[in-house]
Amino acid sequence: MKNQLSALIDGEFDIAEAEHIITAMKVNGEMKEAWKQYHLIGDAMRGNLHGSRDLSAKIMQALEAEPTVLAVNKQAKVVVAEIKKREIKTPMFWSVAASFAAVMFVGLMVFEMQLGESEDMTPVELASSVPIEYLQAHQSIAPSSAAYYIQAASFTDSGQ
Amino acid sequence: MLQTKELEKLTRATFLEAVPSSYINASQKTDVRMGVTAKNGSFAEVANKLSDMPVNSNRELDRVLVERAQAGDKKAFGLLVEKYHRKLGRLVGRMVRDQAEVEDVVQEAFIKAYRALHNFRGDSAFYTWLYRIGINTAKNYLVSLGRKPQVLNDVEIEDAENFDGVTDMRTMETPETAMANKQIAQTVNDTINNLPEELRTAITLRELEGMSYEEIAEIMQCPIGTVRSRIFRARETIAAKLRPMLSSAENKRW
Repeated sequence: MKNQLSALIDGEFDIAEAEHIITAMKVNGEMKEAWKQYHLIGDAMRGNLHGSRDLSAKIMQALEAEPTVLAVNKQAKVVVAEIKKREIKTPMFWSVAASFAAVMFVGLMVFEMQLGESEDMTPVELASSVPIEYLQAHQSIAPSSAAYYIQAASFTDSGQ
Repeated sequence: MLQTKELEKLTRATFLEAVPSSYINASQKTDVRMGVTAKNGSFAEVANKLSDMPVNSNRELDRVLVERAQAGDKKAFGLLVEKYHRKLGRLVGRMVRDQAEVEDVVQEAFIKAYRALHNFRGDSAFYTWLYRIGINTAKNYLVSLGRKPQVLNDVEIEDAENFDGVTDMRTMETPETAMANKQIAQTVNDTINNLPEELRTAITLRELEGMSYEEIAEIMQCPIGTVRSRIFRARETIAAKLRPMLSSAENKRW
């Protein structure tokens, strides 16, 4: 995880994925020391070393006496909105959107098929103008299950 | 007594000279970001110009830490203290001469910043906001002592905000503090000089030039993942050398 911390310090790690690193720095002594050491190295390279090394510890000791800040402000809400906006641009969002679209497409297809089937069940007067003799002559070669339906709308068992 | 400028000579100049000439041509071609080319100059000359530019301070990470602190997470603010206390001390050192006074002002500035954290809206960078609190705290401190504060003009403040533009550091350190800092600088310096060339170049371009991994990858002609690994390995190697010094000095005033 230290290599991720190193990249995070340099702004080269996705901040949205950095929750575990920030949490680790607060509970894991080794990670917290790495944070200190990496910044110390950078400051040393830039010639920024001066003063006593325990200054940060003294500052934190003084801050312990301070009442804890609790300030959920508008800015935080704006930031949340920005994060949501960023999430829209992420591959995760698009994969969810694609899945939803696929489900909608399949659902629409099934719905249309059902609609088609129900339309098939309605009686249609296909052969009203066809002579009854013609239909009777062809019943012998029609599938047995379909033979009943292939008849003139005006046909009755009595032959009328 | 060791002055800060001597420490700078120990570090920055040495590291820049350590960048191999094999990267000079690549850097001349690719330094469009900085708006600088080195048609006739050496890499070190170009690097010296570039070193006055701000190092990426990772504002986004600062913003996340500030939000956590605003939500009651003091440890998140502690990470910001660890990151900025030396830089703020360096800025305050331009106005307040005595090292002990500088540290008192820096501590007070951080406490003021923490108390005012609910007012921070993120319109500017956290360090800009923090530095202005530091400057005002130093001015008030000098006025309270009946001293006339040295007023920094906007250009100087801007330089200070850029971390590395500050060269007029006049604070007098105690001999112990100066010696301890010199030892750390020397250890960092020696370790970097002994690093494999690719690690030394990667960490130097990152820390001194503030280049992104993409830019370093372009200069070193390697994948970004390799740059990331080289910088991490360089840091870990240096940190391993520093740890015995830092742990032996734990709870001890430098």
